[in-house]
Amino acid sequence: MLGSLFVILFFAVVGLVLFLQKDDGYDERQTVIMDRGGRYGLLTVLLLNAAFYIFSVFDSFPELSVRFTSTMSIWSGILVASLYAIWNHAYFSLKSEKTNGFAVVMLIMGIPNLLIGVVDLLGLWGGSPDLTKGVSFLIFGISCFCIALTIMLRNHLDSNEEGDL
Amino acid sequence: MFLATVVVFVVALSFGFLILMNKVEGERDERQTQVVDRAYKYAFVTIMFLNAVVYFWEKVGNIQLLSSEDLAALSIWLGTLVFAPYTIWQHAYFPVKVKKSSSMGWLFAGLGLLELLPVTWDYFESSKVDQQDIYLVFLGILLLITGSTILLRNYLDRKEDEGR
Amino acid sequence: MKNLKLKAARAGKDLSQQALADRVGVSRQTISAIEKGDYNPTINLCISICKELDVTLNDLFWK
Repeated sequence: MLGSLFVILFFAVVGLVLFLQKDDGYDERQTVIMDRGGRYGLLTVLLLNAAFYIFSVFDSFPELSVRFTSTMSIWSGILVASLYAIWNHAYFSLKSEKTNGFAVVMLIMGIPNLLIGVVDLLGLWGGSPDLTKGVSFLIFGISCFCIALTIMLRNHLDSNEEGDL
Repeated sequence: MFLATVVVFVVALSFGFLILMNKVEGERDERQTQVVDRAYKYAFVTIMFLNAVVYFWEKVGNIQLLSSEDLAALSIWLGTLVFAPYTIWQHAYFPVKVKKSSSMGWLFAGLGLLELLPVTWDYFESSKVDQQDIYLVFLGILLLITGSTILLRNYLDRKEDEGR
Repeated sequence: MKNLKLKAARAGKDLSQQALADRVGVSRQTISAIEKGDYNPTINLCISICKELDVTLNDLFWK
């Protein structure tokens, strides 16, 4: 339930940001970069799915649940595509200013999920370790956290560069 | 089953040949590269959507639509199904220097039909279709659609060339 | 927007789309897309096309 809430919140925030900047648009270079990010995201997802499929052939490999594989696919793909777009200044449209605010929101969503993921994986809340749930929270937390850090780092480097101009 | 194995082997060889041909004949031009990247993006979004649907169907409805290996195979299949026809239609599937011919289209379409044959045979013989047959059906459909798109695109291009 | 100037310049040199495409190293459909206005070429491709047709960038790509 908690995990679903965070996921819905994530897409709500991203949807709101996209909606608010709808009129500003992306320039052609940004569009090309985003498409290329989609390519890398797709390759990540395909490799992951190929690995899941190949490993499922071996009996010694533990059976993976659908929730685990679909979560891994979704968040790995989104992470790769997003990081590439952010690093190449193509995540936010031309006139976006409040990017650090967005990064803070991602951080706020990422850190609790990271903690919950670690707790579930190690079974620290009294129950037995739950691989599926733990990894789901962990991968979502890592995605949000990495997106936030990358935005902040990119903004920091850009402001230093502007200082030199 | 032997026929199906042979067909799968031939398909794998064909793809290997395509990849080699792409490397030997050189790269795509800038427009083709853009189209290919856009196709990758559409395939990516499609796979994300499929995984999200399966995830929420299981979580909310408590119904497991697919096993994890079926989901993995279906994701790869769907991504390829979105990518190939789009790039073929936009003249970006084959690099610049590759001479256009319908032989590749006929090969894919033919292989697709050959994949569907064993399944049809199994079905009429035993009225039963097992999991491997389902995989063959999906592979056959993919090849058939890819081959048909190449043939249709080439046909329309020839008509356009004649009209000029 | 259609690029009729490109089409005219190409016709003036008696070059087919395929011939021009071969000379600049792109596919025929790319030249066709530029002429139809369906694709905006990069500056490098614009320069290559202008060199082949012996015209300036202004002649072909300035509105």
